[in-house]
Amino acid sequence: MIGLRIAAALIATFLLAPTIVVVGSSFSGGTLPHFPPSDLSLRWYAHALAQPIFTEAAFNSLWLALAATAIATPLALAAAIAIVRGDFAGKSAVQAVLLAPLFVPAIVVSLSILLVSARLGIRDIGLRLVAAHVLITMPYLVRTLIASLTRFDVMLEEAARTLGASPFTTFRIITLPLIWPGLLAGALFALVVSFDNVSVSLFLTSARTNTLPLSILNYVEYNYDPSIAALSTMLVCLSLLAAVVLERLVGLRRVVGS
Amino acid sequence: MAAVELSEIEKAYLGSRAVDGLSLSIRPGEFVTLLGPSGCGKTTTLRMIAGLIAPDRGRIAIGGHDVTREPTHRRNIGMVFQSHALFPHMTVAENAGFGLRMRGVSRAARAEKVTAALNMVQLKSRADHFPSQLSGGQQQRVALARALIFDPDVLLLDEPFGALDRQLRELMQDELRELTRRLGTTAVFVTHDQEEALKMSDRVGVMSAGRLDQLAPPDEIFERPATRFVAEFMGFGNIFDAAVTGAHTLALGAIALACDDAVPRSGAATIAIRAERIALSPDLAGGTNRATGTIIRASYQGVFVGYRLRLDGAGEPGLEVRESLQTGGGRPRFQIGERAAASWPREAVRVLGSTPQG
Repeated sequence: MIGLRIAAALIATFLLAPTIVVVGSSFSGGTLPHFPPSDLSLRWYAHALAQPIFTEAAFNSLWLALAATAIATPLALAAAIAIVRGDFAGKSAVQAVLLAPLFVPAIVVSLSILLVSARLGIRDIGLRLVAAHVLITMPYLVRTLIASLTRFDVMLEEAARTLGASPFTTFRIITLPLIWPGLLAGALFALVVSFDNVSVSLFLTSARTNTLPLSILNYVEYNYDPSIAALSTMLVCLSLLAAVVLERLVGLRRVVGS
Repeated sequence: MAAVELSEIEKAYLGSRAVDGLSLSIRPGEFVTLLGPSGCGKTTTLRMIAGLIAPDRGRIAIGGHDVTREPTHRRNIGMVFQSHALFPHMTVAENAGFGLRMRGVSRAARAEKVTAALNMVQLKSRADHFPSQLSGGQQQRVALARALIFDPDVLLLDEPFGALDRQLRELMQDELRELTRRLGTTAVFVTHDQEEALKMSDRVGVMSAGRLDQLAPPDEIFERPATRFVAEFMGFGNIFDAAVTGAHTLALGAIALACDDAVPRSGAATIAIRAERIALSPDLAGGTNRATGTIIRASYQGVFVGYRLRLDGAGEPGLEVRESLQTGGGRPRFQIGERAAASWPREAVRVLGSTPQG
């Protein structure tokens, strides 16, 4: 019993240590990140927020994440409904294709987007990025939505229809409110996945249009100061905020599916 | 004009016919039960009336209108499911008023009707509760109120009390019957419980293999089964193929039978005798509608003692006898291995309408 607790504590430490180090060193006062920080200061936060390359990239990333999620969510919902409810040949193949970006190396995904968009003559970087991010966020949405829809009792829809609700009304006031937790969780996952992504964006961005993770990467190549730690801490806080919002709205435990 | 009219409807799943050319005409205000074992097609039939399944062939009319091609939400039906299917994110009042809301009834008019409907099922005080806060019986009452509130042309019930315990089930059966009688609701009820079917219905339709074996009032189903299947399902206990020997006489091996029913001119007839219409006696004298044998099973069943008698001179597996415990003064009268004579009145011998194949 005690051994188990010690093991659990060690694993938790192992998992949390990098975050603690990053958060701690973000408060360094000196020009190099230190852990534990020698003299406490918020100057690197100010420094990071004052860099146009970061703020512009953050703005790009945010837009990209929102656009990709907004497009991927209805697509994933339609796909999940077809997979859970539908009865057609090649159903498992469709499911496999939709989940494929989880298993296919990101490099392959981005390379294929690059080739296809070049072939189609799509020059617009934003468009390429959105298309790629829709692709990589779909699996997360499809998975959570399949889970929600599988647990959803189809008889509720049948009951609504016998009571006079058209298929669309039934979907709007019965199905959607009841799968809402899964939808919201999937969308939040998608936002985070898109916002964090490096590997796919790497191939598709340009020197002028960059995402936040890539600009961090670029910055670290030539600079080594605690502003990166400060940025990372802000991102960690954002993720925590998302988790808290999710917990408040629908209950995280329900989302994770216990 | 029939309230519900099914004409030659047919539905096949993976090549096997779930419903096979079924016709049924239900009168306004009538309570009809579809009774049968699982897989007999009763639920499929009900769901086709609801429009939740489309028939492969045939016609369905509700209130004189052909609705075969109408989607469910345009049929004006009320349906109660076994799992009650209440909307978990809506209150009891919102659930009950759902059908009115879909029909564009104003909020104020709805509130009034919801109150009346919840009153009708004694749940007015629970209007603001959520379904998960109610007991099983209460949930099914809400489902009933929800299905009745907009005055449907027909109320469809799919084993609505199957999940309830016996006491509650009997209470709900009484309430439902009282309610539909008072409101004059036409109802189609689906169950596999013969007692429930007999108790509630104006007419019972016994189904097997996608067909309606017999459609008749409960006493007729119980007393005069049309087929071997109905006789078995109604618990006759004794069903035999007997040789015809005269206008009202038959022979089962060496046993002579006389009956009131008409028998075929010649050949064989399937007969059924209810186990509880047979009396046992230690007097081993012979005669018509009498048979002697050895007790090979005696099982105490509360109100009854069930005996099985291996008959002398008959190839049949034996005779099933259910004797009231009162006959033996509260105790079984015979032991396994004892000799006894069985006898039954001639009107207890039922000649079934059709002879089975093979």
